[in-house]
Amino acid sequence: MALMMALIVGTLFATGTYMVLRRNIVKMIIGLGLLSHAANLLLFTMGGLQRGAPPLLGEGGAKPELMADPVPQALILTAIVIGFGVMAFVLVLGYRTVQETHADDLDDLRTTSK
Amino acid sequence: MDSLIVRTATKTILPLLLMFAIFLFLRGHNEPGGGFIGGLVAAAAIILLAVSGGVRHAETVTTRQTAQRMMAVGLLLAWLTAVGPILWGKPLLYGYWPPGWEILGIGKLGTPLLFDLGVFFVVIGMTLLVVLQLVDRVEKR
Amino acid sequence: MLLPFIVLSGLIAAPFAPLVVRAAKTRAGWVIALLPALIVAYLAAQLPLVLTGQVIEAEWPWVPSLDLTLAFRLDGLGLLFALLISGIGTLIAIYGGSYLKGHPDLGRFFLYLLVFMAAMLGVVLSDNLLALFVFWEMTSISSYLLIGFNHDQEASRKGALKALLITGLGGLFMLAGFVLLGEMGGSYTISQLPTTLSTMPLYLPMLILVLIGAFTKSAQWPFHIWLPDAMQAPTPVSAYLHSATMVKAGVFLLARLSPVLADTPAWLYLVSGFGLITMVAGGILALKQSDLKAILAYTTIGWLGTLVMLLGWGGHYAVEAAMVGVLTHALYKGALFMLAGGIDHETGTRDIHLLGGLRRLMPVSAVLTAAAALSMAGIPLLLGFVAKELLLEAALHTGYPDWLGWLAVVAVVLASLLNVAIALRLSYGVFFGPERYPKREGYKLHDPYPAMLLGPAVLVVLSLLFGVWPGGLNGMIAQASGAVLGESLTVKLSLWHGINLALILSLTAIALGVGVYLVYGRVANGVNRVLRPTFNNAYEMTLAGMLSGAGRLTGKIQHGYLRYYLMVILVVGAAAVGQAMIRYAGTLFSRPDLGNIQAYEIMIGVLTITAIVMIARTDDRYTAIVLLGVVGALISLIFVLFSAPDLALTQLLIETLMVIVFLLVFHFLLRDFPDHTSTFDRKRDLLISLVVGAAAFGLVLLAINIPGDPTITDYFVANSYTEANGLNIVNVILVDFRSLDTLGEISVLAIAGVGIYALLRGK
Repeated sequence: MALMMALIVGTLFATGTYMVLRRNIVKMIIGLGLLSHAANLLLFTMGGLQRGAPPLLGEGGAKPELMADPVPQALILTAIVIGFGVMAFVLVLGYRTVQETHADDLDDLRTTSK
Repeated sequence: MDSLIVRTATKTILPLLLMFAIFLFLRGHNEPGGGFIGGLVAAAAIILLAVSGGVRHAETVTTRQTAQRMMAVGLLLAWLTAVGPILWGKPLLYGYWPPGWEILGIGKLGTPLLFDLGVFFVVIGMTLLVVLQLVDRVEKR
Repeated sequence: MLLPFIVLSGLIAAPFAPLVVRAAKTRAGWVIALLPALIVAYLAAQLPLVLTGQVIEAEWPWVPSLDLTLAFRLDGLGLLFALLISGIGTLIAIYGGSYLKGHPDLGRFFLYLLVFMAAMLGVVLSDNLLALFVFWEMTSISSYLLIGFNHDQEASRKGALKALLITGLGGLFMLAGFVLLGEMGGSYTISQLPTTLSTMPLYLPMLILVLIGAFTKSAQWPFHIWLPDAMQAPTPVSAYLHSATMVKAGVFLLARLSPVLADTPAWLYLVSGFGLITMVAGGILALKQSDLKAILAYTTIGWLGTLVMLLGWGGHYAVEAAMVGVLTHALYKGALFMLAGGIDHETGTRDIHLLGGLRRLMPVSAVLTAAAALSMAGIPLLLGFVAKELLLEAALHTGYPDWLGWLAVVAVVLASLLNVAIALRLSYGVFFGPERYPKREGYKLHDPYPAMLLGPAVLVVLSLLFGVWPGGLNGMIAQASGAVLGESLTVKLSLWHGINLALILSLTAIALGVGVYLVYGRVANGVNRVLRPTFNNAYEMTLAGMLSGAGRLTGKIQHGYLRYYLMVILVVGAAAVGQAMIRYAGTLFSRPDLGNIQAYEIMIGVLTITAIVMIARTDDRYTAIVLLGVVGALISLIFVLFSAPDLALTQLLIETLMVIVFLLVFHFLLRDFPDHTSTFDRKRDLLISLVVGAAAFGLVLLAINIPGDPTITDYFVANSYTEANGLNIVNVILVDFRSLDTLGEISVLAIAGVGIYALLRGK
């Protein structure tokens, strides 16, 4: 599966990059979302993939040696939530920008004066 | 943005969803769940109400002002549990587990649970505030 | 342990200066002067100890990990300078209060002045190289603020900037030199530096770096150009910083480091060479000036050159001459500056061509100026004479080869005679001859207020006292020179050495100086014709070139197109990964478990990839958002499959919310979803994306080959239940082990929420 994950991460990065380079503000924001997925999955794969061994102690849990690494999971959980906060902010900022300037082309937004 | 069926259905299952959120939050220390997930479920429940029936309906449960307060209270709670231990000469974010405090199904009770409660409130407050404000704007157009 | 407090007292008191001015009004100068006066008293109380060769030390740790301590050390050399700084500081505070009486920014003036004084005391009393550097730069900054005190005038601002750029740049070179010095010497404590530095291979680069710092600060040729422009400062500042104290910081540094750096040919020729050139250049350039303060500035440059030259020569004649020279110059030049300020204050001009015969109208100023000028000219019974005798004696005992030695003697005599001529011009020219000054209606010219005469008077009296009784300085000069030479010695200064070569040379210089004064106009014209301000042009051109160059560069780099910034970042990142991929190409596919995959996993993977690619291809924004949600859901499925239930739940919920937010925002946006870019742009972007994607693909394969460090994970797994009473390790990490990260995260989340709320309020 690591090979497949590498392909997914590669595709996410490639598509994210392409979208982020668009002049359309919405496409750019979608690209940002894809890149944050890409980073999360990269981190997740680097931590090693384990099937059916969640990092839960207690009865019925996996042995600690075989257990999935909890550290990347904690990092990614934080990143997902922060990513939402950032995306929501950027989206609303983008919407307000379009509303104020009537332009959704990033190249029309080079100065702060009207 | 008005769907009678979804609205009615949501109203009925809302208490269940909210209880489920609290359940997810409480068991988080031992099973999948916790402040983030619990908070998101609770927020999603109310947001469903807002999306199906408008802000007016959602605000019968939680007004935007309440959402703001939840966010503030949650942040305050988290910071207090973080800074509090310093007053007792302990390091920042020291977790204190009063001996003997234990509830069946949840496990031991300690200050990290209070911290997680802060997370829970911040997540609910933030997402609700954002979505309700957006829905309100859409309606006012 | 009072010493650090004494040094830093100026900094502590500075913020209160504006309050003092508000409370004490016109007497503010006298109140402010109490602080330096107290410091003088403290230092005077240490005199008996220091004169017996003892050293007072005190230390406060500051940044111990950097070997940076606030270590202070009061020895003979430090005491001499500290007494000058606080003593003249006292007089300047009184003088400045009167000179700037009623100025709206008087409070600010005293604030800067106290900061400067503290910084200067720090420079001369620090025993730590890095602390010395910090204080050194503080003097540059406070000097900048003081030169630019009249900030509504362009010339002031330019002069201030020039001084800051030149001395600040020199300071940076010096810092590099200090780091070399500290690392080579094995200690940043000055008094613990070894004397073997001159045999080390990096001695010469280190010496040159340190010298650049000292030369820029002490206005040595060719860095002297900032000092005349610094005369834009109010006169009290010129008198204090730019003649008596700050410009001598460079001289002080040379003296302080002499024991460890001197006694090599490089030191001898570099230090004395630049000093000698500066000495002669300062004198000659002073001839062509007609502004009183400019004349004083150039003679100051000349005298600073003399002091540097003496320290370059080394040996006890030269070092004693330098120490007496520092004192002498501070006494007469400080007085002359303050008197020039008084003349300016009264007549409204400093142009020497417009002034003459003022002795009847300003008799006290006339007497004081004459006395100070006589000291400057080196006439017997004034301290200047003693200094000049020592200087000539030192010139006869240089470490130079014979021919160069005689050249040095000629240069010293030349500089001396120029000093005589200029001193005559300053005193005789202004106060004698026919009465001449710009007349103002209804204003009777008179001596300045007593507060403005007190300073010069005290300094002149000291010049006279020690001129008549040079023996009174024996102990002080012996201790100061001893610190410079790194050995203890006894000094016998006296007025009369008998008829010897030095005396004859001195008298020759006086006679020739009077001669030059008589033909002054013609000499000045000649100088004017020959000399052009070359170094100033170079400075102006460099500055203008740097500004326009920076402007062009910024225009190129900061073009304002987000995607070109991104392209640079992404391509550089891809290249960095790419070179690692090439280096480890053999291991990329070496893991045996790469092919370990289930059929349903292949399906999920293919679905995910298809959905991702379709996002880029669709022309409909709703389709794009739905697909984004699908990708998120599939990713959460991957989390489920690979043992991350918490992540899966969070991802799914967040993805739902995200789609809702997107759809809500779409209500307000334009309906169409245009790309705005040309075909060429799209092809180029596609190429970049593929490169970045390939790099990411490689990065994953590289990363899984590197075994992670299990220490942290093992710790969490082992202690999750015992320490934090939790079985869900991910949650325990979030709310307990690494809860600081979570605290930061929810704070950011709340800030984002507030930001969005604020953006969405209003219309």
